[in-house]
Amino acid sequence: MLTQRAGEPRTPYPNVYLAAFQASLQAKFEYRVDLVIGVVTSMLMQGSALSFLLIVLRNTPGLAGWSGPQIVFLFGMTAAALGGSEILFNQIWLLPQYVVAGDLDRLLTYPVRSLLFFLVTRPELHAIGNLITGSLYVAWSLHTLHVPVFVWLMLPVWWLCGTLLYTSALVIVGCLSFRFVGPYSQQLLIPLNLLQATRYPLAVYPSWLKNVLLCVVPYGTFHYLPARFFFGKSASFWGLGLAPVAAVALALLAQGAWNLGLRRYESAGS
Amino acid sequence: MTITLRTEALNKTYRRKIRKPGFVGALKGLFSGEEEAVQAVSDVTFSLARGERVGLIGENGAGKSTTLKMLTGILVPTSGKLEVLGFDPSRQRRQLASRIGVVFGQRPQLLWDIPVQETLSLLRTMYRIPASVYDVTYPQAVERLDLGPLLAVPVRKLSLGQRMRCDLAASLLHAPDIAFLDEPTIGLDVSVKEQVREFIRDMQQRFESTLLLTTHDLKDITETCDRILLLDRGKLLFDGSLREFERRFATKRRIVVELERPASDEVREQLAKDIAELGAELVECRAHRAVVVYEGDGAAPALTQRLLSRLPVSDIVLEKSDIDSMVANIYRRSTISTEKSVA
Amino acid sequence: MTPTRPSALRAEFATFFALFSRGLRSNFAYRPALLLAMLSAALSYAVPMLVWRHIYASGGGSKAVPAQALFPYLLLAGCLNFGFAMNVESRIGQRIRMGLIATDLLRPVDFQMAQLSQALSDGIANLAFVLPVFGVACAFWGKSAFPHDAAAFFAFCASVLLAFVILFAVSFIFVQATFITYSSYGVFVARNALQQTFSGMSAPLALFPAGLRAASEWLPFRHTIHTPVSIYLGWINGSAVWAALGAQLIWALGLLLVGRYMLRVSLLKFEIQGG
Repeated sequence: MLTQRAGEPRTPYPNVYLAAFQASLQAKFEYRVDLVIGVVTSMLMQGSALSFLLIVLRNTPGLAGWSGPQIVFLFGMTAAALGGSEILFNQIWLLPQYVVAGDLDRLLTYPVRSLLFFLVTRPELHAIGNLITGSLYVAWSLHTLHVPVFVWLMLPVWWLCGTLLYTSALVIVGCLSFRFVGPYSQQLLIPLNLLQATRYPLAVYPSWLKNVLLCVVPYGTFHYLPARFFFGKSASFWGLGLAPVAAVALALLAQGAWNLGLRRYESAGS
Repeated sequence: MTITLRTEALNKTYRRKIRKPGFVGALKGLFSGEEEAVQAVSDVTFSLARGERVGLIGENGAGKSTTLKMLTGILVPTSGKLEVLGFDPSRQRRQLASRIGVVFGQRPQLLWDIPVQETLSLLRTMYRIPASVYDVTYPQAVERLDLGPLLAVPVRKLSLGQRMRCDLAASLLHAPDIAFLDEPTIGLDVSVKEQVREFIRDMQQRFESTLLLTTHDLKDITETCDRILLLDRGKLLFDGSLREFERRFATKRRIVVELERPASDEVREQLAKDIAELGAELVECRAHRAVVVYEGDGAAPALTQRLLSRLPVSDIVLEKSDIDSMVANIYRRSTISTEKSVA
Repeated sequence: MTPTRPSALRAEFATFFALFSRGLRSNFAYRPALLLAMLSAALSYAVPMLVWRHIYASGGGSKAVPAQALFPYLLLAGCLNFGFAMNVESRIGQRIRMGLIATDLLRPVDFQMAQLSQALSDGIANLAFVLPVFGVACAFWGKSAFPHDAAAFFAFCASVLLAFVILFAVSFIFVQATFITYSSYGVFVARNALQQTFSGMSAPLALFPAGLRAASEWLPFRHTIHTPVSIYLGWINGSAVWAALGAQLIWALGLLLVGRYMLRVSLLKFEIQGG
């Protein structure tokens, strides 16, 4: 009877999640060739997306008033947010398989926040390629367009918000597996495709899609809205600060979806 | 006697989709969605006191694992009351988790692709195990479960038995108040089973923990438990001490006879009538084997005599009522093994 | 590994067909998966289409490809791309990773052909689900979405089949990187990236900038989408159709043979990791 007693205030274990992330990261480093190949291929993927932009720009001077470099900024932030989420929180993609196999049991016996712990324990190092490519695009774009300094300073905030927004959307959709049990993760492609859509200025899209990407899954808040302001397309600086609000709100929704999902969790065997 | 765990009218119902076989069935499955309810646990009520060592037994599908998972907060009960160490397991999962230890025998999963040693240190961080505890549990686990050579090995490279031992060590590292062990010895070699049982007994004694163990190996029960809970198709059929179990279910004993050649029908009939006087029943008389079931100790010599005189006996075994046969009797199936029981 | 007696050959084909139909059946098993896959695919193909729509609406675009031809092209390209999710890399990659590939090649059934049967079943099942979408679009778009003529339609079907084979063969080659890497996912991403860039999925080759166009001409990827859709829409017609089909056939056979050869070499060179 030598562990902590009930009645003591429940304290979070921040260092547990870091420690777990670090341990999982270490495990990944074993496959070094794999890592290099993975980084290169994810950069290839980003390059491929950019090739479409090149095709587009050959056939039109700009999109809805956005020039090539300005669109590249959007490309870069999207790639960076994608990379961030995949490096830190990638295990969400495996949730459907875990639910089907009943493999969440062990996780639920640990005195940790199950969602956070689940997310951080399988980093996808290939995504470093996305992060690198994204950063390069953003840096090139902002440098070419001579943006004010505060933009550079706010970049980490927006990046973090983007990562959180995307991860939260994945979690919310992923929690459908608790209700529709099956070893498939196709549903997770929807938040991904929605994110990819934000590579292009939202003004290009019909209003129903624009509203989805600004209000339902507010991806637009972490790069499109701020860029509209500092690229001089909009005078409203609301755009700069909406991202953290949206990110926190979506994250809370995600946690709620997870909690609801766990109550339906049926494990396996009897 | 402090009550550490209490359940009242605990129920768990699963909803299963009915899948039809074949190509057409699969197509139909695309459009319909029939479900059926499977009652895994039905109206189960019991309580455990601190320091009790309880064995939960039952056939596959009886609801043992489901019950265990409700007690540990993994599953949410469909209805009923449940309280463990003062917590509601599914609603206060994290608080409860830091004070219980859980082992899953059939799927030991130490989470990561990392060496055992690192997993154990990570768990130390996770449970915030004070040095006073860790300095006892860690060396004990390493020594008594032979973990030394395994510490540097990544978990995925371990065999089942090795993983089980590591999982067991990991689960008891923080000296939990209650240890829930779901088939901890399944698939292990006999010698490793012994090791594991000793370790469990030892840790339980040392920390005065409560122990709830599910198993198919009834030797686990006789060696580590004082009390038995018997589940059958989700219902609690028996709740009492080992003694009471023997007293209640050990009424029938068996004599198993190997025959040199098959006995004719007349001989069989005659024998059946003969032993019926002694209160015995010929439950089986096939080609080379006959089984007699009887009540009461005194009948054994007379029965043996009758059997030997009537049948062409090549070998005879008088089975002492052991817990396996008791359980088999409860389910009315004949144990096919011809293992000689240990007196 | 190739059978010499006719009855053995028949048995082998019977096995392929069994694999094929079993694959079809398992594709029907998970209803939500299918619907969700279609939904997410629709989303990903909608994006380029919306971008092009905006471009053409605001006066951009190319005379070489008018809007009413572009959209049927893009939708059909999207449908084909949906069909291309044949899981080749994950299936074969897993067998290489787990060391099962060595025993696979000892079986009486030809490994590459067996995998092709399974892949084709996946691909055709996918197509079966998604082509109705195109059918509906035909109702809206009218003549511009119909096949150029009956001959073009049959040539299109043949071309699609060859496209599947080519893509399978390319994946078969790429997946052998799993002998030196661990995860086949990275390989899949690389192959997919090349496929998406050079196949003409996001735009007909006529709209490509010069450099990209030149590269596409040399690579097999355009034969997976651009060629079949061009045949369908009549952009390639007359005797050029035979030339296109011929090119596809040569690529298909060539890549299959290269893949077989590489596999044999890989097995000799690389240590098979046991499970």
